[in-house]
Amino acid sequence: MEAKVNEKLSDDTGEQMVQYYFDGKKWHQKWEKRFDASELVMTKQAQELEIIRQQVQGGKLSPLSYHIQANLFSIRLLSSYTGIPKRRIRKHLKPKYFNQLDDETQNKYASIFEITVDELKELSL
Amino acid sequence: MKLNFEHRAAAHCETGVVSNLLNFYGHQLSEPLVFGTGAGLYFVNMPFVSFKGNMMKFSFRTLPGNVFKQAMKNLKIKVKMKKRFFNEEKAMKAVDALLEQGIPTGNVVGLYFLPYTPLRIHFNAHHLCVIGKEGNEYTVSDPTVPTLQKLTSQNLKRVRFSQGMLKPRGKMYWIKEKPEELPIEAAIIKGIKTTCRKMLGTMLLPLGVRGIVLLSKQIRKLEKKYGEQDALLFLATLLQAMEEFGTGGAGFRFLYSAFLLEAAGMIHKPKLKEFAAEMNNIGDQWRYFALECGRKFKSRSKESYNELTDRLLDISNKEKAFFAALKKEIGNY
Repeated sequence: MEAKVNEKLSDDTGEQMVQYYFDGKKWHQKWEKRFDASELVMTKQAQELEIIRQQVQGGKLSPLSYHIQANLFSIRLLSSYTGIPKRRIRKHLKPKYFNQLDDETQNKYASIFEITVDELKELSL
Repeated sequence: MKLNFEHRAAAHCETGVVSNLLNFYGHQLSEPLVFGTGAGLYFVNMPFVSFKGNMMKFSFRTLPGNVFKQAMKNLKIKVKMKKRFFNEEKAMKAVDALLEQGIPTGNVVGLYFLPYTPLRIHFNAHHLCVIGKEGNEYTVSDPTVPTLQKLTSQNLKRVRFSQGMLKPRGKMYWIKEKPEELPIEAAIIKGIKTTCRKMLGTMLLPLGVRGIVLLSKQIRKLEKKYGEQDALLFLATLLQAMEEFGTGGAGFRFLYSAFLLEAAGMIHKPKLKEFAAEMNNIGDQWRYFALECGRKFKSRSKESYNELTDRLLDISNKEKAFFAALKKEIGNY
């Protein structure tokens, strides 16, 4: 059996070098430098988060919308985790209705994002 | 209580779990062999999923659990697979009951709430093996991590019942009887035939090779459709699926070529070695394509979207020719 299945990628720019080789029994995978795809996606998400944060500070949106974006959730996902209808979650994105929430719903949201109820209500901005 | 289970790291989660399970019952099957007999190579492009969310849009393998099902069917091992539970407590009790009998179980889980991985992505096709329980803590063998890990029962429950696309719903599988002898030769031929049929695809559905063609068409129109910034984001999500999360596009090609190398010795067909070399070439091309995508959004490349498309079309043509030839080669056997 051949020792190496794939040889090293020679790259002049040095963006990333990956090695996959198979030594007869085991499959080895070795990363030397990574692509920066995740970085691009994460900066894009951070920009969107910044816009939402300003809207929360301005009183246009509730802190819940900040947490949804920060934890990479969507309304549909949050609905299936908590069992709260999507229509009602959209209502809770407005500060007026978010402030009237009862304890049970608050606990549900907090347990999904793994934070306390106080952290849910007030952002440490 | 903890089973005497040898933990071996692997390149891909599901094939790693299956080969570890077989190793527990005394059969040494390597990871590429499981991948080949289980017909795991595939290409799925889901145009209806948005690329802006945090969901998987591309897949380079079959649905979760399919590799196990196919491999066990071809190797004629008696297994049991529980597709879904409606009650979370019952699902946890089922694992405990099997552990007391000394049977390790494979589980399908979501990645997002797994505490020991840094990846925060809603992807519900990860696999791991539950091999022990002490009090409230489970010992878990995850082939993508080099050592054994511990999970609390609450964590395991949450991970097994994660939500989103392809909900696992507590899906689990185990081997019922200790197999005596494995019909490996017949299984290899069956596996290759299934892979060829899947990759060549039907006329109607854009799966397999036709999925790659569809993707290349999408890339040609990217800039016109989404604008400059979002087009780059599309490439970034594609690159994440290809190289960063899991084994990815090129990795599976190398796995498959390793399988063909092993199979050539086992079924006494030296011509398969040439096919292995060809598959290796295709894997390299996938990696070069990924590299060009990476250069694109670092603005080091002058390659236009049209040239990227041509690369991908070239790959799809090569794969089509490859699987057609392989089908012909194996069909005579």
